[in-house]
Amino acid sequence: MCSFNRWMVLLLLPAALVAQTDRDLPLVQGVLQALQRPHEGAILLPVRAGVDGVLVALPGEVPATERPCVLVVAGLNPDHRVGVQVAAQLPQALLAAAKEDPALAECLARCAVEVIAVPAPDALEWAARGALREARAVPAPMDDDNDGLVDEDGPEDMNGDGIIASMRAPDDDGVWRISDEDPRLLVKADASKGERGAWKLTTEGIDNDGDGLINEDGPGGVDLDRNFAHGWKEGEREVGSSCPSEVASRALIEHVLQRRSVAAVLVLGWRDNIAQLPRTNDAAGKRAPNGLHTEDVAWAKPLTASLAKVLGATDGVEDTADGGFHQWAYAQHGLPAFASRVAYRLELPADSKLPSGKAPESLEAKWLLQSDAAVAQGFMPWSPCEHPTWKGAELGGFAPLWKVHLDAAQLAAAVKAQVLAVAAIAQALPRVGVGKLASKDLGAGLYEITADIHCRGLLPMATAQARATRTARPLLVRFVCGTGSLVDGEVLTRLERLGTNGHERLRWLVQTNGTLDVTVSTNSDRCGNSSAQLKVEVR
Amino acid sequence: MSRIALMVLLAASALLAQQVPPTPAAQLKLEWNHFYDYSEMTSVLRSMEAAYGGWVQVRSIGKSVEGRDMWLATVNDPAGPAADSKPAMWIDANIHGNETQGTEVCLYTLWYLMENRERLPKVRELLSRCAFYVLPTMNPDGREHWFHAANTSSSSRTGKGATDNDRDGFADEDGPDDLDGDGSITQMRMRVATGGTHIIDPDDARLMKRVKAGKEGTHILMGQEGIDNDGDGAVNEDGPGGYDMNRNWPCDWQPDWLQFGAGPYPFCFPETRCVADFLMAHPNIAALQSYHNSGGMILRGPGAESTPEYPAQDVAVYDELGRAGEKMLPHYRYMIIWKDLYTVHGGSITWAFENLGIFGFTNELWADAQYGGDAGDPDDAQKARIEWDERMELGRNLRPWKALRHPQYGTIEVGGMAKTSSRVPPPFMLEELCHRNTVFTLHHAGEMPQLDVPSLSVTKAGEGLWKVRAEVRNAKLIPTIAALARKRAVVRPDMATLAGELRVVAAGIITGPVHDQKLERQEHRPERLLLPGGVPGKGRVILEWWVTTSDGLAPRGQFTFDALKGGRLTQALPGQ
Repeated sequence: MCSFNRWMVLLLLPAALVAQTDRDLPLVQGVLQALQRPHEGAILLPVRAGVDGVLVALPGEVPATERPCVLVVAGLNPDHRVGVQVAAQLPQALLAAAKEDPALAECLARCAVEVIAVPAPDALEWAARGALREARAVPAPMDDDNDGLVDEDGPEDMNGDGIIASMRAPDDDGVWRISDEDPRLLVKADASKGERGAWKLTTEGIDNDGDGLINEDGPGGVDLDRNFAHGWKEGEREVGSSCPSEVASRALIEHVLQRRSVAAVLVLGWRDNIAQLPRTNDAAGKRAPNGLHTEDVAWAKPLTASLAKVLGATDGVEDTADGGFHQWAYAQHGLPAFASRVAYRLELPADSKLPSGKAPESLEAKWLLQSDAAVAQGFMPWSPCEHPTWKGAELGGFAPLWKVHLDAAQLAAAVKAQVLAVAAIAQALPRVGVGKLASKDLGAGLYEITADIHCRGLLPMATAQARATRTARPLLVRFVCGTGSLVDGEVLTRLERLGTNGHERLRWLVQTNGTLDVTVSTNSDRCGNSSAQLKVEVR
Repeated sequence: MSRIALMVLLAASALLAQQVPPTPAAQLKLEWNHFYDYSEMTSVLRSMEAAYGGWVQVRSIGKSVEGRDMWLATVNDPAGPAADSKPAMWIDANIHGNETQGTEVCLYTLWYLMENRERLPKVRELLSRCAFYVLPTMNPDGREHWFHAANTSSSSRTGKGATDNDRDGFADEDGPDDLDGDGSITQMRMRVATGGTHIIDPDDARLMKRVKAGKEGTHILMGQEGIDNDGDGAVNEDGPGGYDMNRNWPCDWQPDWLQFGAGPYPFCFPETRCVADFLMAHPNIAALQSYHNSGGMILRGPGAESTPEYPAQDVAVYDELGRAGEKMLPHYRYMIIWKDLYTVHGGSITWAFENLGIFGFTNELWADAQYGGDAGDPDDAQKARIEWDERMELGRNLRPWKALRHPQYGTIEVGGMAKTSSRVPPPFMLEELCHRNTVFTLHHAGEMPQLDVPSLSVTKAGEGLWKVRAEVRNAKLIPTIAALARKRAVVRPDMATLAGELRVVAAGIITGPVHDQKLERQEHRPERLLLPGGVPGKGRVILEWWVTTSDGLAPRGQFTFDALKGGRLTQALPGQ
């Protein structure tokens, strides 16, 4: 008997919302309240108009809005509420952790973390209403089946259980057959092996528009996390008419472009590029690469490994470019960008067996086994259903969103893990500054000035992909000579690269008869600013 | 012939000559040897709106970066159906701010259509079944800047959104400077003792000639007029704007770092976005013309080699239109963008065809050869341009070299050709350019789908059973749905509906080499037949319904055919 339902999803909202679980739950308002809850001694600022989120930091030398920041985004797919739940609790959890961890506190005094938990508020509210269902797209109307009608054939909760289940029916022309692993599961028949299908399978619903298809044009349209300009699948309807085509995705891009100090990205959603390091694939011809720039493996490998460790990320899959936000952030904007699935984790004892006595081989069989062992079972047994056009229809299968559902204890653990992940990324950010600034008297009023510009941290000053895309401005080193005149050297030096723990020595020649007074400053969007002054009384 | 009869004939001829002058007086007098700046263009549009009694409606579809209105003129018969319900042609120009004469072509097209709407049967017929959406400038900021600021013939291509081209944190801080204040950005040259790359052309002192490798010249060319405004050691490296709106469309779009000017994402500029919004909201647009300059080209997609060639049926349409264009436009060649010109990712016309199913061309207006024949190699072209400027325009565009003091380079000379010396036609040739391109565009418009129903029949097929058959014909070249649009499902299928006192039992499309051979049945919702392939150009479809009626009498009702790009036809079933 399945014991998972829509209320279990809604109940696990941030603490501020636990009491509010009626059907008109002001979900977005609650998430924003949780995000913006004051925390003693901390800086919490709204991200900017058009994007609902909060900037989290601790007081430091540089204003929080000017510091390099880690951008955390959740809720790109409105049905991934577990991501929103985690993101909503992240600011408080991060600040609480900083109280216990001086290194994190130092990091938050130097950097900032932005959390955008609700990039598409309408979509989140919409997806939370009605029957529990997978709803990846935002609710803008769309003619999915190109028949001139819009959203005319979506799913129906036929048995009134509050869930849009899977629906199957016997069909000689069907492409599905009963799985050999467990009779509750259906697998696609492989004609090359002589297999024949005997079932048809879709989601719960009827043929509302009489075109012979079921649920082919339901409410909603564009999948935001496929609506960004990298690997965008032009021509596919659900990815939008452009990249971006939606207000929310455009606002997110504009935020990153205008904020300029976003130095890394973490997306909490359906995708993952942490459990498995993306393959390397440098730009080929006039195309952006579908994978990591070869040079970026140097930082991506250790950082991804440490993230996988704190997040317990396993069972990775290839992260193929298809318009995802994190893919755009890296490939087109050169930012270290990570995607974490938050939940969706199989935790089976090593010797687990299906009721048939077989060890599970397929992913679905493993999930089935996990469901059987869970308190809130996610697999709904198939049960007959009266259907106007599908004779012998049955409803059942995995409950929507069950695979990404966490109970209260799991949710707390997930928040804690994401705090560690954000901290790991923030602590890896490059710290660029002016090191040793020295002068050498060459005689006759001539002085050689040297400055060591260094980059510390796991991440380089600019990723190789940022250099390739020319989206990160070079580090600008300005030399200001308070007295005397510059004889040799550049007033403005542009450094395109400073690798992990790299440094560059710059030299200038100054002629002065008075006080030697020079200032060297560095300016970088993604690494912040620094300066050093040298004042020497000349004899 | 008697003397009296002859006199009568002569008198009648004289009367006739008075009644039909060789050039009829225009309702609205406009100059076609003049380039209109933005405010003049706006005034012309407003005067057309006022003069032509509801035929031209002008409205703004958006604002440019600097807040200028994006004026769109809709041409439609005020007594007829709404423009949006008819096949329509979209015409735009000047997406590149310096490519100005397309705007005059757009204005001329509007004017020509209106002035001849009663006079010429072909125009009258066209306007009876089609509408036009005309956007004379897609880049009003770039246009205004090109007109009223010092420029070259190639500068101000961009829009005016501030862009940090040199990535120093400042935007547009180091553009060209009109050092001699003559209103044009010309060249800088400096005499040098060593290292010279050029000499003054011994045959023509107005020209510079590159010396051969290993030879010492007397001058170096310093690039376009300008100074190092931001003190970074570079001159003119971050001028106004700095992007290309014709690389900004989501059609095999590639980012700025792979293709200069594409912008950070498609439709990031308000100008391209508002045009795209309009085009997407008007699926009745079946043809498109975009005017650029220069080179004398009639261009079609694909824009990049990686995009497969268009389906053969579509290519045949393009070829027929393009070849007709070559005849109407001497010195113009019909070309494929990537193959015959260069690769363009994210271009507007390729987007419109591949994503909206609109057949469209880019015309690169004006070829220098139109002036006085093909000059051959580039050096000769420069020489020829000066020569023709001197002969035909009495040196209007030549800026003689003059010495001046440059803050960074010291003594230099500035000179060369003014911004109007190339890419745009000399004013005296503008009207011909406008007319030839207009008639090409009207030819294209004339080939938009024209549907009719040559036959609609009801025949008894059994007791209480009737067969309704409709033939829908497209008299023109362009299909209601391009083959590529069908493949990509970017245009809603045409719909054939039977409604009234009847019940449809079965229906479908008659296919096969002999048309009554086979009924390709549509199983579901047979009363509303969907035609994903539409009606082919110069072709027809035959539709058939098998119906019953409650009273056993012949069916009463109506047949409707609705093609987004071909209009809507409704006809009562015969025998009612």
